[in-house]
Amino acid sequence: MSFGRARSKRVRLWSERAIRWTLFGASFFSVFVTFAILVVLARESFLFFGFDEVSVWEFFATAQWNPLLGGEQHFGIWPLICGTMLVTVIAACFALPIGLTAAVFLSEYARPRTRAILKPALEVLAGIPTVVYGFFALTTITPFLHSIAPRFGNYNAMSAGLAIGIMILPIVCSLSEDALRSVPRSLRDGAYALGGTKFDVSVKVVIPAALSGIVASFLLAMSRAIGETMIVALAAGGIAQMTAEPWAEVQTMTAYMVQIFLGDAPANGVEYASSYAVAAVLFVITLCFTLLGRYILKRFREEYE
Amino acid sequence: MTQVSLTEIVGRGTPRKNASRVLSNRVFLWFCLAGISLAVLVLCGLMLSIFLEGWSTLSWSFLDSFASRKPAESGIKGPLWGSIWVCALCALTALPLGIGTATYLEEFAPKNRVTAFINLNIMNLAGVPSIVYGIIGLTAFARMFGGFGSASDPAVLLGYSYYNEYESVEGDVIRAPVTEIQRNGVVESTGFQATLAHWGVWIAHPAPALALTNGAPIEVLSTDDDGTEHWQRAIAQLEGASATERTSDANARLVTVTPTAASQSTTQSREGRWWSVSLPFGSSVLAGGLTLMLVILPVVIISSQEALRAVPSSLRQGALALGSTRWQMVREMTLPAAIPGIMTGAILAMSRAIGEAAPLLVLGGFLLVFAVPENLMSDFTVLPLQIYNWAGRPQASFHALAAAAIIVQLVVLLIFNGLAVFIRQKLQKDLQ
Repeated sequence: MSFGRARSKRVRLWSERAIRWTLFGASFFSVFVTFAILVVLARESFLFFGFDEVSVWEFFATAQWNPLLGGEQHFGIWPLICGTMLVTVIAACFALPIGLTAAVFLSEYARPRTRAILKPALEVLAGIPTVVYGFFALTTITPFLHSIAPRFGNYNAMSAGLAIGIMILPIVCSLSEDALRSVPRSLRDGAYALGGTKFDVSVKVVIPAALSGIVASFLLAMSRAIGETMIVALAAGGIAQMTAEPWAEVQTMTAYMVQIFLGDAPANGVEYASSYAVAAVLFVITLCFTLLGRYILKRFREEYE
Repeated sequence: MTQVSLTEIVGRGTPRKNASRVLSNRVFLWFCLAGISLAVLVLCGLMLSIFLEGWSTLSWSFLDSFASRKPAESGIKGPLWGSIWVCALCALTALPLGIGTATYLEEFAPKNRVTAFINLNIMNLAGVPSIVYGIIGLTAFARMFGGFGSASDPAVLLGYSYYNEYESVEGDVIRAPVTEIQRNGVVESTGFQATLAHWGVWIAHPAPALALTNGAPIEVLSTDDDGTEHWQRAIAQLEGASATERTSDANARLVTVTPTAASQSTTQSREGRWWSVSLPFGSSVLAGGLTLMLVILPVVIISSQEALRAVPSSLRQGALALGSTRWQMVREMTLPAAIPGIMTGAILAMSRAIGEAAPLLVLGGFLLVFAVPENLMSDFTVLPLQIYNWAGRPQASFHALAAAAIIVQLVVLLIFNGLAVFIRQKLQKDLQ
């Protein structure tokens, strides 16, 4: 092995230091990005609450979101949060059980060859742009729902929720499967030795042992669903309302931001500034999910061996 | 950590007969198989419906024509080139930064609180919704916090040339480069700003109109045989003045200008090179590329970290034992061993960047683009945004366009994924 020409020790020492600091600078950039996110969101939200039309109390404690009407504007964030949660819950109800079942199948039941086909297929599925799922929702899922029950209109929460569910399915499946596979073999062998069937072993031994990883994957998938933009912008509609009806048209936080940045809201107006406050709320919610997932993963991990 | 005994877990349910347990096992297996075949069927159905809807629209002219208000004439040339520009810029910025970060964290960083904080921070960044990055990109790149004026009137211009335009006797448009800064009506030829302007960095606006002198070097807009226009070097000849001496450029064309036309410039124009940059960036390809860089940076870092972690430490110890420094060890041993994993992660991250629409939507809204981006400051749109726009329209003909664009997008993605799988299988050496 040769490391090039011999150089004086001092030159080598200095170039070593320079490289080290350059690489440290690169890694510090990510801290700087976080700092920039916090500063931008805090500053612009602060400016938003400086407008006469809105107060902190109204924003967090009232439930009427009516930003674009010329006459009386209302900025109560809850309808947007409600819309986001409705879509997310529909997505979760669809994706979490199916994703976990598929993960159990892949990790406990499937033969290596089946796995070798299904695993890359999942990866491809995870790489499909979300706007494509939005197109699915709009052109396939919505007409299908409408044909089942006519009360589903052109835009509805159900269609967007199902599309988001399809979108997060690979995430749930792939991460849960990783968690299931990291359960040591000896546990399974022990349970089989006690006379358990595959189903007994999977449900009573492997899933409880991997529970922290599974819950973390659920939380990660939920936070993806909350932050998803293009599907809801295409399929969920544009009416911010407090409702739990899946056939209703709802507006999510992300869809509201798209509406503002796509439209002609004046750059100095209160509507425009409101999108920063909504972004700040969205950021805090997803951050909570991420941190909670990390905490569960760390705190409740069952360690074997 | 909790100790769980096996008998306790298995014995949790009420004891049942073997037959029912075997039955539930079989039912579950059938349930799984049915669920997975259903999922595969649904997926195939959706793909098929997209292919059927978009296939007839797909043609060479679809790839090679710009968007139009008439569906039959529409194409994706603008978004395709926009995607290429933006993703290239994104890769050029995100990959060095991300791989550098991962290298530092895995190979150089001491195990202390700062390192743990940076790691936690990267995990959190990976969970931030992409639309939030779009808002950060809009504020930090496109507007630069409002500190440099607006995008239509940028405060700082790098690498641009300013020209005064005049009209010749024959009616040709001619232009002469502006080199001087004017302040309060006085032309500054020295001073900091004038020096910067000499190097193509404009902080103030240059003198608006200067009179052309006899024999001044100019450029004239001439048309080629095939109809393309370009600027040709020439020399100004004022009407009535004595013939100019051709000292510098013996072949240059002489263009005659009347003294009145020479004393007043019609307009002022600026021309950039491909690398010209203005501050703030506005919603340009550069701002788009940097915004996408923010989106995929955590992904690149995390996958590169995993690739570096998979390199056995015996390689590192071997290099260090031979007396190499840390950087020599990284350069000669660790990075080459980790490069297949890093490249796989990078390709998957880029395939995410290609499909992102939300951050770019926030950055610049949707534009119908009728030109291929020429420089870093060009307007652009990308494929997913074009798909979004077409999919959102009520007419079925636009849906067919969206389906055709989706096919193109999916083909590109499949190529990327295939490349990643190929690299993983062919280049991955067994290092254990």
